Amino acid sequence: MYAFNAGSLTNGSSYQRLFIPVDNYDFILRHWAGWDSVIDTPANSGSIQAYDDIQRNFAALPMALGGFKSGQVLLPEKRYRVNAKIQFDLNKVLLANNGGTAASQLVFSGVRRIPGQAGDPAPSAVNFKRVKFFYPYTLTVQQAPVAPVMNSIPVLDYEFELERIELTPYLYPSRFAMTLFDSNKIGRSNVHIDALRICHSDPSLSGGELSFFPSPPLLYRVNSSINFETISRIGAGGALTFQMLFVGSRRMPCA
Amino acid sequence: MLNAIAPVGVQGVNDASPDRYLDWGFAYPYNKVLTANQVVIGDTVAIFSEADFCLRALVFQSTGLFGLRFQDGQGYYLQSGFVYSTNYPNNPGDPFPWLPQVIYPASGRIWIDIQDLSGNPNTIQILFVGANRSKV
Repeated sequence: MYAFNAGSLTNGSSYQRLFIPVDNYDFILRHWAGWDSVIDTPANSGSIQAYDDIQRNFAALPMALGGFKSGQVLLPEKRYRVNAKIQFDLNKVLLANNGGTAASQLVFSGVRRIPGQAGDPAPSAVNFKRVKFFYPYTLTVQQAPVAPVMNSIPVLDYEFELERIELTPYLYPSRFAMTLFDSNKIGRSNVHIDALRICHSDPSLSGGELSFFPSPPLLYRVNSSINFETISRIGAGGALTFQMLFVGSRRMPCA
Repeated sequence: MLNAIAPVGVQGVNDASPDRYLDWGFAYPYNKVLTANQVVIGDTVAIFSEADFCLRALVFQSTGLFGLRFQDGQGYYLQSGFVYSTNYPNNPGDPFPWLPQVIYPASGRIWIDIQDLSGNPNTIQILFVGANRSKV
């Protein structure tokens, strides 16, 4: 995931050609989200324009997507070559905040294309069958400003394919942000991603954010750990406790 | 194995461009401010000359109810009458799918009839979502 933290922008202003650099490998963009936390509503002239890696715009005119909490699948997907930029214009910024702490982020999700490597989820050396499995985790987030916290869940007995991360309770805007690391301790985003953009919440209780990360699933080897670093977005009111559920499948060896 | 709850587009969809063509995602917004109960017949969105446009989905934002009908690339209406905006989901995460796609030729237009049904001034943006189809 590539994300842009908009906390330094000024409400009511417009910005042209903001960008996120695409590092290391080509990036295939398949989904974007976060307008509700960055631009004003259409009635107040909030809009956004974005550009692909050769500067073609996503739409003929800026799109009035402010206020939408859900993201949008991009079809056909867009390819950003390494060292390209994900560029966008923001018209009439309106930041979401939580007691003075910015929780405003545009999030561009997709996959990296790494030459010579198997795609996610990584293959196993043996035949296996999948069995649904869950790793629950209780997360306590202190009020900002606090140092980032690294959290770790040991993966025991069998390989584990992480399919999604459930989060309760649903609180808007995000009260924390996180970076998820894979089995090789490589972060899967360029910055910490707002919780509502990386975790999945009950659609009937949420505002419709509906994150689908990780897609495709991520494989964690036996005796590795699901590591994720969290930073607080809580501006007031003290610490909060969340229940996280790492949903996926165990790979059980079989003949 | 795929993420069971994710939309197909997030999982990755192979390029479905026809032979010797390239489809690349694009959208044409249509912006309109209607006065109370105003009816506009024959508004247009101009299609760029660089590529045909394949309409595949519809999203809108508005401050009130409106009615809409529009034509395909050959000038035939796609609705027999005005359709209430509430009959189109207005969410970019769950756009109203338009399949089979409607192709508008390069330099063509989307002919739009629109009517305010809210009885109040109505600020509207309709997003025609799809793909530009270029020859390669």
